[in-house]
Amino acid sequence: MKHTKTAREMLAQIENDFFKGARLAKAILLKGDERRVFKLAQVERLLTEQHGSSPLAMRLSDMFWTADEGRVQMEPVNPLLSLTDQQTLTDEEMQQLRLILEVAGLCHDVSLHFTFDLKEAFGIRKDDFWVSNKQLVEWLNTTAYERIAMHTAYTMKKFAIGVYEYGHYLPAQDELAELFSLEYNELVRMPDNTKIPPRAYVRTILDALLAIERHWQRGRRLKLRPDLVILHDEIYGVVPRQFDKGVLEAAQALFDYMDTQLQGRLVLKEYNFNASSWDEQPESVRRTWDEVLHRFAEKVREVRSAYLAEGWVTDDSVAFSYLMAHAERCGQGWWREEDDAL
Amino acid sequence: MMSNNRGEYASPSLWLSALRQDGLWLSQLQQLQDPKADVSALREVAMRKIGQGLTFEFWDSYRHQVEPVVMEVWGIEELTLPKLKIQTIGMLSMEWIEQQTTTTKKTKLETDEAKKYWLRLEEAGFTDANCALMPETTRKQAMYIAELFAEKLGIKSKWKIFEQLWGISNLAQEKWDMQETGSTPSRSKEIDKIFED
Repeated sequence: MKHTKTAREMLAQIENDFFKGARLAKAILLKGDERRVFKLAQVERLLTEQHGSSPLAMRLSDMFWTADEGRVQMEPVNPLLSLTDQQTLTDEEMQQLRLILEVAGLCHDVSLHFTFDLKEAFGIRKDDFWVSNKQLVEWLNTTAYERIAMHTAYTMKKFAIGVYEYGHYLPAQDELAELFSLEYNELVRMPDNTKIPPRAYVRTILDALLAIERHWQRGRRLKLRPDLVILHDEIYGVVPRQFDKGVLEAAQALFDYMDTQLQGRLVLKEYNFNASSWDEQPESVRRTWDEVLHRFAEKVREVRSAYLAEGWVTDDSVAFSYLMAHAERCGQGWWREEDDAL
Repeated sequence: MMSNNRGEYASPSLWLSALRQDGLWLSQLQQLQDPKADVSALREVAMRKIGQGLTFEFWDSYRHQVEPVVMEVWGIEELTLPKLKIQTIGMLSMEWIEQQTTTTKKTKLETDEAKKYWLRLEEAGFTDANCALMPETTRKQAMYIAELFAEKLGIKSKWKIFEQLWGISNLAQEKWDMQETGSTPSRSKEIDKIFED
């Protein structure tokens, strides 16, 4: 299916709907930092102005691309993205189109929380969405573009969740997934769905990310193995802000057991990788699984009575559940993979 | 012992079914079924398990139905399965406690005293022999009956139990409207008479 509008008509419509009063004709001459600042101002405005329940930024992005990561063209393809149709535009119109696409691209990535080129967008040297990127953190805390800062902070949270999920660091993943602002007594939802003021919103996310990062820095200084740090935090059921000696001893006892008695015990040649549910696994697999994990659960109870105070790591706690998940992965061979990084 | 790997479950419903058979939930259920159990303490523990995050918000908006909450949270994929497991055990515990409370209240509607009122309501044409509302009974009359019934039998949170019994919603809204307008439903005097003595 083809668009009924010509490229020129479409360009005029977009200018009218999204850039009225923005002086695009003048802005096309801007270069370097001035051009970057112009684009940020436009994105900030488009993130702030609403059309129905969604910001204009998302509508502008929808004119060209789907909500998928990258640049998947919307059907029917916008004539402004067709090389043939673009040839019907004058040089000046093409320059305007280039600028519009730069703004729309940033609107797409920022409003849908995909990572983007930080150097291109914010003029930041290090292209990294991790909280250790000091220049990025400073930019977010001080910028006048508060909506962009909120969305970018949310993207950092989403990015960190992905990293922690991949690293099987469950307490951190859950802390960020259900991040709660005690100050505003509110869950940290997406920026378009929060009552938390912009600065506080950004600060809440960055504080949470920084606290986890600092905890790991402390762990590295103490030369703790990554699996030991994770076991320590799993015993807490959250990411604590310090390392406790007694809890570390308990974690070490579990670490030693996992290292010698558990690692790889669930790598079974009878395991059916095509099974669509657990019930379809051979009986021998299910039996071994049960036995191995029951033994680990017993070990947790033993460690609990030896090292921890009453109320810690009860069978029905998140902490116990985290440890069991860790044991399952260890049994499947996910163990001490990051030791080389120490 | 159930797996903590999402890949082992073709759907969130299958995961929930597996959880309902899991030793952890079954031992929790045993505690709930203990006649000596301190229900308010168990309720508090269950609510702590659910927490105050995303799962709680869905649980609240789905009016305490467990399955749709699990479907939603599963779809977002940010929360880990071990945590969702504990939260779901909290929700299942609350579901059990709430069902028990409703059942206890429903039995109050089956006492001899209650039967006397049901018979009078049936004779007056407000309900049928199965305690269901007659088609001509209005929502306002239903609210009025529920109010007086609850008062006579000492039932708290009356709206929920009568809404469930009659399959209607928002009786509290009817009550609020009545207070706002100051008008009582038609045949209210007849209803008053039914609940006299």
